[in-house]
Amino acid sequence: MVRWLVVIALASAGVGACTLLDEDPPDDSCVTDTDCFRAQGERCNQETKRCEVRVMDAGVDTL
Amino acid sequence: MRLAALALLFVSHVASAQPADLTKEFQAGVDAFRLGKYDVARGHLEKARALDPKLPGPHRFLAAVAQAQSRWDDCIESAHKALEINPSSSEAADTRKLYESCRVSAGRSPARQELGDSAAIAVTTNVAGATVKINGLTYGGTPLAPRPISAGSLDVEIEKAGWKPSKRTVNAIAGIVTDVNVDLEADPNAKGGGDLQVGPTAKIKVGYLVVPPGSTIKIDDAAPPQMVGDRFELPAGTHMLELQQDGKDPWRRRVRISGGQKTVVAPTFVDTAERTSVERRGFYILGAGGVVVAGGFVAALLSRDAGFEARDIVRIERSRDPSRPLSETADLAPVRTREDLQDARDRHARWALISTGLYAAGLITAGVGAYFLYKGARQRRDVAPPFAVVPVQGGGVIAKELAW
Repeated sequence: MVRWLVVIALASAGVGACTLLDEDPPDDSCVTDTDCFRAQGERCNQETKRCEVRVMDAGVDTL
Repeated sequence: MRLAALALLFVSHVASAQPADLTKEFQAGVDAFRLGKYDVARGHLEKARALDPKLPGPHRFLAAVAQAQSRWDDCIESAHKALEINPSSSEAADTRKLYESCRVSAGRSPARQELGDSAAIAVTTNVAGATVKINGLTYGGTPLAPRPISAGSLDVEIEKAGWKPSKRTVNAIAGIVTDVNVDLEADPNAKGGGDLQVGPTAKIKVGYLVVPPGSTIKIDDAAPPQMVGDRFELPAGTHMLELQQDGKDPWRRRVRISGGQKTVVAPTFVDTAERTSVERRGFYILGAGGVVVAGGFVAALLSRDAGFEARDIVRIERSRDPSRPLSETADLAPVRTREDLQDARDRHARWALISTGLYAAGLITAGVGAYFLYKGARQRRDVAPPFAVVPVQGGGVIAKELAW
């Protein structure tokens, strides 16, 4: 009984350790536009290296 | 070669200060030694030694001649004398090597370590087990292997019951082992001189075991023999003793019975109820630790799922076609925003932190429980362990027999 408890504890600790060693899920950092949610209007801001929704200026021809 | 060079130096040195006969004899001895005429060399060197016994050179060369002729005792004696006369000679190191080489060739125990400035003494007697006292301090029994000691004059006393004590003064020289060999004489006035007889002495084959009253006794897993007075008479050797009392754990020990001697055992009984209580407590704590670790495991799985969800959001939204309206592609996969991604990331981090905490707490708790469990379950036994430590060159290995 005790042996099984120890084995289970060690196995779950192993799984836990694997979880801790996992990489974090990706955030909004980017290198190119393809790293962003382009369909939602995001583009990669090359200064901040963050995905941002670009607010389009009105075009000249709309005047 | 070095000795020959030494000889030339020595000859040139003594030529001015020593009589011509001494110089002539010593030179002739050295020459004969170099030519391998050892008997001739010995004759000349002995004459040189007789002319001036306080010169170390003749002694040193006589030692070298004796070594060449395999006369180890003479070699040892002459080399010792040379070192005694001038221990700080520039040739002392070589003479010490010569001395030690002859000692080893003579079958004496080699020095076990570099002695440096300290001396060493080895004592042998014609009767083993005699007590050796040096300057009044007991150093052990004979044969006494080379033992480091301060250089100088030493009073060596040898004693053994049934034999006449022997005392002598020796000069222990730094850097070498000084041997003391003593032949003890039997003491005709000694009482109970069984030990004096040559050959094996009669061995006493039974001993006595005394145990406190009030216990049920088993010896070698069987009922004990009839008591004689307050003791059991047992064959000399190792026996397994088991004592039992109501409400206590059995007390088992291996007991060595020596011939003619009384062995008294004083058992310390362990209260069975108390021990099992500790054991039960350990079991519960270990179980609680296991539950907490299991909680950590569940939290780890939740964290892992949240991480997968975040990665899925990123994968889908990055690959969604930007040239088509969202309403068209939403049928293929629901639209997930940055807020959804951040929520998944937050859940991933939160459950990971909870998992870590639970694991740490659970493992500590389980460790405490395991300690109590071990402490409570430990049987007070003294039997051979289920493994053996086997000495090997450079260390040892632990061996265990496996059976299935």
